[in-house]
Order: sequence, then structure tokens, then C-alpha cells
Amino acid sequence: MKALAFHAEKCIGCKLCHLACSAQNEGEFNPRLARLKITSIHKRDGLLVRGQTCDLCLTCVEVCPEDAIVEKNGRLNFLPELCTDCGICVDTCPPQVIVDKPEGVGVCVQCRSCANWCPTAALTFEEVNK
Amino acid sequence: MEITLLLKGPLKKYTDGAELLELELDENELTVSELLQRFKVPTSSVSFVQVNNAKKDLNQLIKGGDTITVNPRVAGG
Amino acid sequence: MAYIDKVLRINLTNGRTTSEPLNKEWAKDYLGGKGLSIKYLYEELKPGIDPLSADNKLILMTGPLTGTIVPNSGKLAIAAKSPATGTILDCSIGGHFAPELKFAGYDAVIIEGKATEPIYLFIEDSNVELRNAADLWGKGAHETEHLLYERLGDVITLAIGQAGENLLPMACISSELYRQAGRGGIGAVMGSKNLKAISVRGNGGVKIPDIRKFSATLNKIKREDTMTDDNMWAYSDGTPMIVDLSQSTGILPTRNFQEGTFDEYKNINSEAVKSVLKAKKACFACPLACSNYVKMGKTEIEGPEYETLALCGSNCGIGDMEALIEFNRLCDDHCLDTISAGNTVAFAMELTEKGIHDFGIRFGDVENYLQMPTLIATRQGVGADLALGVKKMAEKFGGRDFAMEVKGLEIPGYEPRGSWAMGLAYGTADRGACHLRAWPASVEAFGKIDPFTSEGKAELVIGMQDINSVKFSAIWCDFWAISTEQMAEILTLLLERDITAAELSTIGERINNLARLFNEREGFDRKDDYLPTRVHNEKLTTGFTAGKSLPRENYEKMLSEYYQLRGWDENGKITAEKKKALNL
Repeated sequence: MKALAFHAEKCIGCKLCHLACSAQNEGEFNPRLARLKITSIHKRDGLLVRGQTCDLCLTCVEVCPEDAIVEKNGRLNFLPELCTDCGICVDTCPPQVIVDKPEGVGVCVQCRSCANWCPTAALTFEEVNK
Repeated sequence: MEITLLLKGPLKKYTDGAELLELELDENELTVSELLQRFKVPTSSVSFVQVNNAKKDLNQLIKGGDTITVNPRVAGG
Repeated sequence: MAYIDKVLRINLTNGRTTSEPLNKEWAKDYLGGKGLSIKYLYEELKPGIDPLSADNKLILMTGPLTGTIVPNSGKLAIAAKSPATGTILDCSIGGHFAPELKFAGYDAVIIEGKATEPIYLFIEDSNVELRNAADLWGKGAHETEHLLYERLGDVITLAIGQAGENLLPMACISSELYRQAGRGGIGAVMGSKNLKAISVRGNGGVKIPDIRKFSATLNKIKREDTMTDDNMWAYSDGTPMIVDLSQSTGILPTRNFQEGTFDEYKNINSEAVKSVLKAKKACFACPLACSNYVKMGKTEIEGPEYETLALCGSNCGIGDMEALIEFNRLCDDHCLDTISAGNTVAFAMELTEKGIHDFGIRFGDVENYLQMPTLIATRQGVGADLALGVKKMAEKFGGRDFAMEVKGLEIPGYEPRGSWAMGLAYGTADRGACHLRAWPASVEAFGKIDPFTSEGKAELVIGMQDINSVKFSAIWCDFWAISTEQMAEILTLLLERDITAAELSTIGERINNLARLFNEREGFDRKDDYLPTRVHNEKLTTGFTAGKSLPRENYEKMLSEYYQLRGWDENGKITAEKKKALNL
């Protein structure tokens, strides 16, 4: 399976990935609704660049009590009609990239919009060992 | 003749990333624009060239031992 | 939609905050950013007010592009009447503040009045709070930002340093430590209102019709038109690349504009910056990432940019990169505009060397040079005099002929004797000597146009001023050399009405005329559009510009032609016909 990989040394902190993701999946430009978190800020001890992306670990699929998140052909699929808004997936997602919405959740669906927009190839799709 | 070619900024992509090239040319005379054609550098991407650090136009004849610096176009400021 | 249609108005005198719809008629005529903030100021400020009084207003203005995926759209316009010049003043600041403000639900913030004690603003969506800033007052912008981040969480902040608190005409506003709304004393306007910082967090978004199609179109434009040879110099080098260009064309300001070349230029050029580069950094939605994050010794900054390398480097006779980086950091932390600060230090150096007044600092004197930013920002020792800026120092101590300023704003890093259109650009820029209103050096000194003639320069400068005014209003960063046609295409998609290149040109012209009208109302006319006499009377002696000056008669010719093409009278006043044609 292929999943997102983040290369911090190439990241310029432009947030185009956040915009591409939220446009594609939420229909608006809203970085806080993106299903990934790329941080590039100056802290007291210098520039902090950090990327949290879905690596298809499938923890969400395993923990969802209603089977509202499923994996199919290397992609996650969210089934809103089954979701009870319990929030377990949001809390347990290891990279913390599931968006908690008023109704349902937003999971990375491997749409690649973020990587397609990344101007420096800091986000790529790579084979993950599963 | 032997010349040195320096491609600045993004223009070095036309020489596979090399910024400075030591070149051995068969000709004993050619113009800057002929040299740029050889590397497929579009003149529209060039702001100005220098021959031995002096600003020259693209018709300038190059002689052996010259250093040619090619500067990219710049916008903003 | 591209506009949120909401303006937040905050009166610091009585602490009241209100929101109102954006004036859509004005938005149609002036887009946003620079143009729209000037329109609000023109309508709301009484002529003749003291820029440092409660009567001045500080406007933060986004544009229709802000918050969208359009490349290079991350900038914010900040405007007020300038304490340095008395003219209209709009500055542009990068980073992430502008989109954050829009995500919080506002196109603009208008700040009025004056708080009785130091405060900062915290804006999170509809929640707006004026909070006590007693513990932040006196601190640098860097510490202020760190403390607010630790206190408020994930916010973006605009802050002032000591220079703004002490009302210096060269005080800037800072964001994300290394980005500035730099010029004209915009930081002193904040300081005069007892406003230390503005922190914002926005949880909303920007919605536009057919967003997926729009994004796909823009991704193609980004690849084919933004990330091209014309613009990628920003990524490969950034502005330090200009040092070599200026050196080789003889327009690198050196020792207070006494020369146009610097022997030690290799110590301060792009190669020198790249040798200490740690990472490239971008503003919001920018694929070009012009910023260089560098580390040398114990000092790290984003920078130094060309203007700093030129004005605080060669212009001060400083060819020591480590010293320059430290000077830059000190300026950023105290919130001194490096163009004005570098000019002021260089002016003090020349006054000292010429025996006119001893400030105890000479060209190339690294040790004293590094003391200057703190002394100036806190008005201590010789800093009390340097804090006046070049124009007022010349009035007090002399050296008028080589006081390198126009209308009270110090001159940027392009020697006008080697780029005559640049001289005209400095003379006619709305906020005093500015290289952003028009940057003809790019096609003149660095291009194919003869720099040493007045022919065609008025038209060149006007074209650039008008297109840049559109860019700074939409808001695009000027590092994307975007055509007016391309701007029209993108704005048409975004605003869902047909916008033509011709309409945008008219908007650009209208903005420049309104800025001129604002200044005219403040008493400015032809007499104020002149350069320091050094440029006319002293010839440069080295490099490509050896033997060159910009003779006064050539300058007069360019200026008269400029007025004529603008449709202004011989005294630089806008004619009634022009006002009518532009709906002013």
C-alpha cells in the first residue's frame, strides 16, 4: 500500500497542502479542516518543522466500534451513516490527523491533493510496509 | 578556446545543476547569445550577461579566457 | 466568498468593538489591500491630523485572494497616515496573519483612538478582547510573540518592539519574528495607540463556488506560470542574489551612497548567505519560498534580505556577514526598519567622517555598529539623535545634500544614478522613497533598457506603479511576475464576474491617484517629489556607473513627463478631468 510521507528538510511551511486537502475534502479553504498537520514555526530554540500525516496504520479501522471507517484497496473510506460521533478514532489516531467535525469525522482518503500541490516534494506518496 | 560559464540562480537547471562550467570550444569566436543557444537557455529568462564582470549585451563576442556570467530575470524586489 | 463582507472596528479609547459590512462599492473600485485601506483612510481621516495622535487610524486589510489557494496570496496590507512622512502609508507584511484574520471572519480591522494603558488584542473568531499588556511593554517583538504563543496557544501575532513603543519614525511591525510591515513608522502608529500586539486565531474557512475546479486550475497555473525561470530565483537564492546584480551594474549603495560598488561585496552576496543557509521558508500559499533561514555563530534569523545587505552592509561599509546577521536580528527584535536604520547609521558615519558632527561611529566600524540598533530603538546615547531618522538629523546637524531620503523616507538599495527610472520611482512613490511601488531597476540597470537616459522612463514607472497597486490590493506578493491578464483571469474565476486587464489597469491608476489626492490634501505637490542633491551633483567614480550622475535637468524632464502622462498639472496636482475620469 502507498501512503503519505513527509520530508521535513524540504518543507517550506506554505500550507498549500492544508488548503488543497480542505478544498478537496471539505469544499472550503480551511487549514484546520485538513487531514494532515504540517507545522513550521519559530520557537524559542529555533525553527520547528513537523509533519503529521496518515501513514495508513489502520488504527482507526481497528478501534471504530461501528465499522464506520474501512480500508479498501489501500484507501480509507468513511461511512457517515454508521458513525455515532464517539470520538475514539480521533483520540487514538497515532499521528493525530483525524478531523473532529460537528457531525462525523474527516479521515485522510489518500486523495493525494496535498502531494500534488506541494511545491517542493516535501510530501510524497510512498510504499508503506503492511 | 577555453571559457568559463557561470549560470546564476534558477538558470543552472540548463546545465543539470552545475553553476560553473569550464568549457573547451572548437570555435575561436562566438557571441554570448550563440553560447546560450547551445545550452538552450531562453533569452527571455535572462536579465543581463556579464563578460569578465562587465555588463554586456547578448551580441558581445566571446574570446578565449573570458568568464561569462548569465543572470536570471528578477521581478519584485 | 472571496470577501467575508465583515469589517471589525475597534475603538481603543472607549474599548468598544463593532462589526460592519465591507463597503462593497469601494471594494469594486479598489479591490482590497492597499487600495481599499487607502480609500477608508481618505474618507475617514481628517486632513492635517497628527499621525501619532488618537485621530490616526490603523487599518489591517486583506484582499479577495486572501485565504485561498492562489499562489503568493498570503500578504496583509497595514495602513495609516505616516509618522515619518505625513503622507499616506501602506505596508505589506507576509507570513500567515492575513489568512488567519480572514479565517477568523474578517476582511479588515480598523483600529481607532488610543488606549489609556498598554494593551494587546486577542481575536478568535467573533470573540474580540482588549487585554492588559503591562508585562509585555518594554519587551522586544520576539519575546512578545513567544509569550503570546505560550499564553494563547496556536495564534499568529503582529507585534511592535521598543522602537514602536518609543514612537520612532523608522519603527516597523513584526510577525513570526522575521516578517515586517517595514516602512514609514507604521510601528509607531501602533505604539502611539498603546497597542503592543494583535494575536489572531481563525477557525473558519473561505468558501468559493466550484472549489475543486478552481483548485485544479490554479495548480496548473502554479506549475506553469508561478514556478518558472522568472520567479524561481526567489527559491534558488532569494533577494540576496541582487547583491551581485547591483555590484556589477554599479548601483549597490556604498558608504552612504558615495559609491555604487563595494570592494567586499563577496562577503555579503548570495553565496555568502547560502553558506550559512539552514532552510527555505515561505509565506502562506507561496510556492516560491524566498526566505532564507540562516544560522551563524549563535545567531539565527530569516534573512538577511537584499535591502538589509545593501543598506546595513555596503552602505555602512560593513563586509562582515556575522555582524550583519546580528545587526539584522537586533533590528527585527526591536522593530527597526532595516532600510531606514541602515541609512541612518550610514548618514551618521558620513557626518562623523566629514567632521560635521561626531557620533563616534565610522564606516566599517563593526563594534560600534552593533551597538546602534538597541541605542536607536531605546533613544539612548547617540541613539537619541539617530532615532530622528535621516531627514530630521540633517535639519539638526547638517549634511542636507547627502541626506538620502525623499519626503522623509530613507532610500532603498538601488543607486538612482545608475538607474534613472529608479530615481523617478523614488520621487513619485506615494509614501516617499520606496522600491516596491515600482522597481524599474529590474528592467533598466538589470535589463535591456538604457539606465542613463530620461527617455520613456515616466511611462515605465507609471506602468509598474499601476500594476503593483493592483497586486498589492488583490493581494499578490510582488515576487510573482504575474501579468495583468493572468490577474484578470484568476480574479474572474474567484469573483464570478468578468474582470478585464483594462479594468485592473484602471483600478491601479485609480489607487495611485487616490494616494496622490490624500497627499495633496496634506499639502504635498511637486516641491516634495525631489531627490537628495548628491544624486544630481556628485558623480560616482567606480564600476559600471563611474562618471555617472542623474543631472537635475534630466530628472525635471522625467518628472514633468510623469505628471503629463498621469494627467496631472505641472505642479503635480491631479486635474479635475482626471478625478472625474477615475470616479474620485
